[in-house]
Amino acid sequence: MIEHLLNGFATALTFTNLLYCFFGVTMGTIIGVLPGIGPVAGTAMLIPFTFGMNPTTAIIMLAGIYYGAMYGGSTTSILVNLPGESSSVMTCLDGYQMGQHGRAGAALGISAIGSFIAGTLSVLGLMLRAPPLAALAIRFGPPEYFSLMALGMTLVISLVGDSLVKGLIAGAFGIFLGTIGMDPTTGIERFSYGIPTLLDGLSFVSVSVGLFALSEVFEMAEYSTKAPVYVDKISNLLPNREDWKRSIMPILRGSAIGFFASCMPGSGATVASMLAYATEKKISKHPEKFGTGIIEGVAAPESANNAATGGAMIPLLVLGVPGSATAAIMMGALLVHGMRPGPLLLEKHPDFFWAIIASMYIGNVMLLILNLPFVGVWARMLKIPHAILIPLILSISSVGVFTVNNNLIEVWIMLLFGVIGYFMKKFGFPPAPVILALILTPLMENALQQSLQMSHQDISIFFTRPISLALMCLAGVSLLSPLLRYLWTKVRSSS
Amino acid sequence: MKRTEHLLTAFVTALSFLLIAPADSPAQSPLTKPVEFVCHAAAGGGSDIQARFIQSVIEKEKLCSQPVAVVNRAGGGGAIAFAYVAGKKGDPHVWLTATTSFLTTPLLGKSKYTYKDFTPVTNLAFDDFLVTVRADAPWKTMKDLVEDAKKRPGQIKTGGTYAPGTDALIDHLIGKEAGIKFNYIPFKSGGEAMIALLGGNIDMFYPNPGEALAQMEAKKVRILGVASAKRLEGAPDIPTLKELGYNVSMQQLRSIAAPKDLSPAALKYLEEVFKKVANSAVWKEKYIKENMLTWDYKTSAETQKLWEQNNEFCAKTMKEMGVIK
Repeated sequence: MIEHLLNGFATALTFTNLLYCFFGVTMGTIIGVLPGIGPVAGTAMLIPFTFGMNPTTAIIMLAGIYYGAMYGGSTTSILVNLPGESSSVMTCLDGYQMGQHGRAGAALGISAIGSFIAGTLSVLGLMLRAPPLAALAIRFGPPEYFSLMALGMTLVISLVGDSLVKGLIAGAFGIFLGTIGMDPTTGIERFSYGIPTLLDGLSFVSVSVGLFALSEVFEMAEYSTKAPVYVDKISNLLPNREDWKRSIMPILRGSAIGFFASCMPGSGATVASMLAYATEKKISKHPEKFGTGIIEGVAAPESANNAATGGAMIPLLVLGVPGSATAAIMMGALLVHGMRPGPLLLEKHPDFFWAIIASMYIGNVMLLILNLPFVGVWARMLKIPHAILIPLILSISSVGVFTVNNNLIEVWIMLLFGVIGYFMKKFGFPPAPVILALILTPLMENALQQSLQMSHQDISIFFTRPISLALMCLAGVSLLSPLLRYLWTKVRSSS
Repeated sequence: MKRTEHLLTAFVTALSFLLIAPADSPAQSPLTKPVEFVCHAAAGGGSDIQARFIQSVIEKEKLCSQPVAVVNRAGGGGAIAFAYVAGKKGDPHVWLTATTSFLTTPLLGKSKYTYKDFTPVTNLAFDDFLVTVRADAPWKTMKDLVEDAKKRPGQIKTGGTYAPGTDALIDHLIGKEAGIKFNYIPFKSGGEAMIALLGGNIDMFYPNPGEALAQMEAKKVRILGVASAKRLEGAPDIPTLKELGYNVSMQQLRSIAAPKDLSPAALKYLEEVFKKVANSAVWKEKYIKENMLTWDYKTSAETQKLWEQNNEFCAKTMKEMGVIK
């Protein structure tokens, strides 16, 4: 293996490959920073570009865009509550609050370093454990997905904020939003009112940009006469020792969650970042502080979405089946070059596989070097007065949301959710459960219908398959844990 | 701030690369501005890759007087793209990727624009469907499968893309021809269905050759037949379903459409452009052969006929399936 890896480095370190790796990660960072355009659109745009390259160089570049975007995505989340990528929505919760308390530098710094650690660990995982993980991944059928999503849903509770009732109402609202569009199996339209854009469901990007960034902008406009509060407080640009101590475990746990969750085709970085955030909050000694701007809330999701990039490569490189939209594009690029990724890829083209692995190590180092010096530059953006910042956010958000499908209706949806988000904020409803439920509902419903179709409408399918049963038990524990904890303390105090 | 500028420069340079126009232009081109090549599916899918490949062929071989940019307008089973292009009447600067969903989406009532609201430009290829089972499946031939399915109706799990995609139609047609019934599980993409097949969550599915070949080489799957009239050039060992006695022949179209009411000169020009694409060595070698598609080139009139036939066939099959009235 060492020999293979060294050969891989030899290939990845040639001038051309280094250059395209650098180009890829740079483009990725930019794509990550801009809202709307995600790694999928970014890699697709550059496909014609790769026709002249050899396949190894092409994938080195495309993979660079993919994981590069995960680095960039956190920037606008932290600075202006504008998720640059769907997988960075969770970063808004604590990242933006940290920025508001003058700690944008630390948040940006930990997200770059966390991303680096997670990215590197996930390449390590990809290198050492790819075939067994792929074997595990194919055992994940619809019933297992349903149980995983059920577990995810129980975590909504951990995002509710101050009021349990308001949080659950927000979650229910999200579930409702998630049912808009065509029924996944029968194709029957629901709540689409003849608007073609709604047939595929509400776009997650439009809703999250509206709920997070626009509602914030509206609120800023309301208080725009006040000067920005954080003018001179960007003193500590990098995470301090205390930050490190608190972040290191969330980074490691986030990496593990992100890596394993994304090996399973179809779930991906966004779900991974949510699971990581919710898990951190669940096991934290001070869960009430999440959402007020603590560094664990940034470290966990940002590590998870980076670790997801390594995991997502596993189905593609080992099985020859793309597990995510970005992987599908890479597969397309490979086919164009006459290289058919499949179960024999490792045997037939070991040089290719190892060069990609090596380039991912190199790319992550490049990204760290590229991103850390920017922390200061970005953090200073917070000095921009509201009168300039508000129109800037509005126009960037609109353009970003429009670009996803070149569809103006998406911009209206974003604006509508901006207004909804503004009032939710006024009345103390948290936006995070809406987003989590909106993401999980379609996945969960889809898996439910597939499972029931498989079992001829018999729900025992969720409890007779071992992996599914284990996940269901976890979901049960997660749901009942507050009650158990309450009873436990009661028993102890009475005895 | 200096570094930000560098980044910006890099980004702008990259963008401008994407917009580079072919230098020389044939004299009598009716095109006066860049072409918007609308893809009805999201970035990364089969249609998107095809559109971007065509774009690159046109760009490299300088086949068109104006630059071509691929724009994804995905959503609603193609309905969003269809509505957009149909609204550009008479404009030769808007092209559209058209696969079988171009026919089935309007048939399902999800788009009010049917194929009659467009100008057919060409059909560039056909994509086939392979009847695929896992390599360790008990069925060695189509006959084994059918006999087993007769013994336990509705127990063999098949899969494919959302009903009623083309593969769902094939599933229905095989069932009808053989007098059996499968349990069809819909998936979001061919990739997810393939993973379900490999993991044993479904027993059979209908990938395109491009999706199945790698698994075949690795002996992970067995192909029982191909649902087309002729055997595949790249895999002549696979029998057609017709040879096996099941009259199921259906292929995915890979057509190009343009808005209605094009001037004859404009249509002629577009036909010429795509004829050159179809006959270029890159297209034949890198796209058709690598993806094991069946090469095709049809004129506008021939494409019109192809669409009519396919539309009639899809309508009939979907009525049988009970998805439309």
